[in-house]
Amino acid sequence: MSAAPHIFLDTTIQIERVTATRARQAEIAQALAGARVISSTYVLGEYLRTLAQDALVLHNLALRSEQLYDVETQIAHLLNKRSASRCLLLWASLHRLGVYEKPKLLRTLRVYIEYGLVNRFMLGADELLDTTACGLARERPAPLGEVYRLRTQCTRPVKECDLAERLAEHQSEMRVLADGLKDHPEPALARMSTLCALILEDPDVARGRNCTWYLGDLIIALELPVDAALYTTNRRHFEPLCALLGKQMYKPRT
Amino acid sequence: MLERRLSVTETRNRLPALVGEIAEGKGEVVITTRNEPKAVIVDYEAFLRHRRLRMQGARHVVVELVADAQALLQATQESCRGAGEPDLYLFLVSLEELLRDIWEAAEEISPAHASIASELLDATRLYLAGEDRLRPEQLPALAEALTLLTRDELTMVEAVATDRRLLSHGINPMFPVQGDLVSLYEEKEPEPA
Repeated sequence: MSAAPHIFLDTTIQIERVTATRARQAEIAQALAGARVISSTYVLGEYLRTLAQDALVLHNLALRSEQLYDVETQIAHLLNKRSASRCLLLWASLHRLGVYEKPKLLRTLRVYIEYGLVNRFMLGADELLDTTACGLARERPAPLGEVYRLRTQCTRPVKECDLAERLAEHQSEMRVLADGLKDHPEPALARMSTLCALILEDPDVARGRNCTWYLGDLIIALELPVDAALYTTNRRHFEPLCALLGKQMYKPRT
Repeated sequence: MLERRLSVTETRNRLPALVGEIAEGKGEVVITTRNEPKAVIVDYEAFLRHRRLRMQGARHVVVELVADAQALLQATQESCRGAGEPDLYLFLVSLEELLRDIWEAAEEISPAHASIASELLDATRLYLAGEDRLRPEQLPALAEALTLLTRDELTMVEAVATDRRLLSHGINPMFPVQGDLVSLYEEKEPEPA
């Protein structure tokens, strides 16, 4: 009898298994059936500062809008293009079932923000790795009066995770990535190469904005256990990373 | 009860004195704009009394409506025992109507009551929209969550646990998103200040 395969869920697949159409959610659940499902606190931190943060922004905009159509206007005026697109998709999903009462929409968003999203992240997970001891993963949306606040950014001078120590333990892999991704046509990967070289000199460079903005995929690829396969929708970034690190990508049967 | 009507300007000019008078039990003040009543200043004890009564009323409404919903569930469970695939559409239509009222009353009781009621309502709407299919074996989990709403006290920890229990029975009240949301997260761009 063969052991259950180990599958590591990254942030994109976590978001997809929570928000995608029911058919796609069923497809992911089917792919995970019988596997040992792993994720990490770093992935949870990313999930919170992306999906949970967008739900929170939407809640706060809806709260301060007198009319529901003002929410779309505020999204257009206040958010950058990508955030606006995400919030509009979430907003449309709430309306699709014909829910137009503002108090009900706000309550639904509160359920998502306060526990719904985190409960779904954890659903079916057998193990949550804590390799980086990410401080942002310990944050939860906190009510401030009627609105919510969530800390989504850490700073390098305030040490609240073990990221630098972990990366310092991966010097050989970091060197491989610094060399292997140099001049990569994908700008995000080329930037990772530059950062790897800097982190080899000073691991603390990894913390703060570099971690949350530029190193996410690299951190996930490094914390991915050797006996686990990475399940992601972002193959463009992870395929080169995993190839260089000799790690596996999960390819669900279609 | 003595009721005085004052405009916003009059109220503003006399506010310190009004607060003292109202606290001493000298009636309440209805604030008007263009002669239309818009808000009321009442003494704090009266406000608390009113809130208590409203909550008691809401509890009473929830208990009654949950009893109706449970009776509906039980009748549906019994009809599901027959042969063949049961048609739960009419049950869901009636349940949605009850849950809308239950949720409104639950909002008056506590955030935990409101959250559980809201999830049950959303789940029912998803079933009605055909996004999910309700199976007869999921009915006891719905009944269990409904029963919780009749309790006087509920904590958010219990609301979180109820959500997990519903999920473990395949009842997912979160609305799916149409469109490629994930690709919009793949590249980061600086957030506005």
